[in-house]
Amino acid sequence: MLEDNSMSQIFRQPDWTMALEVGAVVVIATLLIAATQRALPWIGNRLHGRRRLFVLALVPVLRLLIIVVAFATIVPLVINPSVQNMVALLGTVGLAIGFALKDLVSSLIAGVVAVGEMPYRNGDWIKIDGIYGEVRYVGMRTVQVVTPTDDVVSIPHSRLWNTPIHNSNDGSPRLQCVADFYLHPEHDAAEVKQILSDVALSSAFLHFGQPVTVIVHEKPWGTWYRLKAYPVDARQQFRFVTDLTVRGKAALLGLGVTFAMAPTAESVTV
Amino acid sequence: MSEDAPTEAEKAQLELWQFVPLSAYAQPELAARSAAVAAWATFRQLFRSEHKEELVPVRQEDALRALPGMHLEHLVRPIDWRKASAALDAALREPSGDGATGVQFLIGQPHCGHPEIVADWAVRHGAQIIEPPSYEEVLSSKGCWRATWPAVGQAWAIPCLERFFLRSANGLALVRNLLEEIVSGRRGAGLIGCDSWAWAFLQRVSALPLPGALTLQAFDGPRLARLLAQLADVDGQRQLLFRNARSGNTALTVPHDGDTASEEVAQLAAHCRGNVGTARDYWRQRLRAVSDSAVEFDKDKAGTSEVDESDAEVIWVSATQPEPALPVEADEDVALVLHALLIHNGLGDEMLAEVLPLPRHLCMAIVLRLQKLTLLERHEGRWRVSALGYELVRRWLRGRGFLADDF
Repeated sequence: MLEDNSMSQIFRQPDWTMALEVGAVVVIATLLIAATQRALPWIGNRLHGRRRLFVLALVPVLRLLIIVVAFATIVPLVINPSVQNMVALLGTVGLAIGFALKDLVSSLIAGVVAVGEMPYRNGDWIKIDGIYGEVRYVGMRTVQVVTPTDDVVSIPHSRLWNTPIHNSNDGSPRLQCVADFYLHPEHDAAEVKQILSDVALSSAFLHFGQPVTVIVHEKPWGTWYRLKAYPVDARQQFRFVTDLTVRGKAALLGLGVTFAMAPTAESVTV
Repeated sequence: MSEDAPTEAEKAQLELWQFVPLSAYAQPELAARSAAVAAWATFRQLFRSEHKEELVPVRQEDALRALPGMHLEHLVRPIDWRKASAALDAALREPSGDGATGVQFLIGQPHCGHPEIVADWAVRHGAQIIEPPSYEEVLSSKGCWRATWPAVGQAWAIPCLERFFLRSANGLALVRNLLEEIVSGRRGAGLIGCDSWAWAFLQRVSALPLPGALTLQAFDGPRLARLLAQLADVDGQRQLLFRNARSGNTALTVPHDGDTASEEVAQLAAHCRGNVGTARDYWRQRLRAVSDSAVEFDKDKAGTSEVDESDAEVIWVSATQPEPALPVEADEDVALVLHALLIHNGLGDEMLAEVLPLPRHLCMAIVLRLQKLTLLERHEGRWRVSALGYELVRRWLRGRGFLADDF
């Protein structure tokens, strides 16, 4: 009887007006979320560079904002919003969630943290648990990543708590690409370094605002060159690395440089 | 009378053709209303394709027809770059260049005639023109190309520095060596013309401290109006009245007097960001004549307008900017082709494939599609971005993050 009294004190007396108001808020919020989730990516994908990433990153932020506003509008409609009532309601809900929906709520809370801390945004290139791809959608519970093989992978936000997140461009259109070359050790390293640098400088994809660097490592089996540069757009990274590799190989062959070969089992035996 | 004292006509030309350091290039400003219109046009460009109704003429201009080619040629004659060359002479006399080496650079935007200006300067001063190497020599990268430089003390000129490199791994060594020789002063005094996109590229691939450069100052409304009037009436004999086809307002009168410009011409100057070559083509493209059916209508209106009472020949100016559209499927490959053409100020079929990570047949497919849309044109055996397409292409490439010129 006491429980019934306390519950009736917390919740307002339901009636058609309340149902209509709550329903209207839910419908409006849903429509707004659907509209932003369709319109912003549509607009964003017609832009380039920073403007594209900015518009795409607005999607989860606006959705969270709409949900918070809708929630704040609905709560006073349904309950008597006193401190006592809120504590009682949240305590009950929290207990239920703690036992039954722990993982779901963990992901939802991580989703809110992801919107605030922004370890990834739409358009970022990230790597989580060995999965690399472009963030296509930051949902409430999961982040969707499109891999280079065009697979869509949904990763729960809760991976945030205990897994390193590698973000290759961190909200910027700039993303460093690396093309590797493995050469036989007998060659003029300065000449190779210069030609590789020119390979990058003459790439149609190169962004000139960032440096072009060539890193050289001497290994027991040969010399390892790492050509590092930035494409105009992060989405060009695979074409850029392919271009650097193809033209780099051609330029090196033109210099008469020999490429390093992994020793075969037969040659090792001999 | 002193030989150096310029006549009134020469003074007028010096005022018209102004050469300034690159940093002093001042784009004509858009009026607030025009800026809003331009922003709206840019926004619409996001959703626009060549199939949309923008290509349909506006209703008020249905009665107008394109001018016959010969008539158009007389109304908008080619720009006489020799006059610009004479003004460049005066600018070079000022002690603003690289005094240590005596080498001067003239940077020109596409369609702004830097090769013609430098070539004329060379003729004027008896300077030897250094012809560009063949593309095979550019790509040999072993320094086998040797220019025939003039004797010590004699000036030389390079009209097109952009012909001395190719954007490929082996195509940069020659221009680097050349620039090193020039900038170090080993080749004496001379004048080098270079396209603005190629200049932006060379500044980034050459570690040399390249000297300051001159460029043709942006044409603002009043100067553009004077030039357009000159192009329409070289001899100063004609009376012409250019009127906006929609509003009927006067866009330009010939002979043109004073340092003023109509809103029409000021907008054109701002739209072209001061590029006189593209502004001329836009203007030429917009000129219309009254069709026979509309003559009667004009006769009815005669007497109601002060302008119509004059003896001036009336030419109508279309109110619509003849802006071509990018193809719907304008993708990365289209951007790569357009950017390569701008960096080199035009390329032939073979060399285009050489500097792009695309097979030749795909390059040609893109080029021919863009030609159909009037974004590209064939000029002296090379594909280049057309004057009408230049502003759109530049804006598009810049928006996508590609290297653009400094203008």
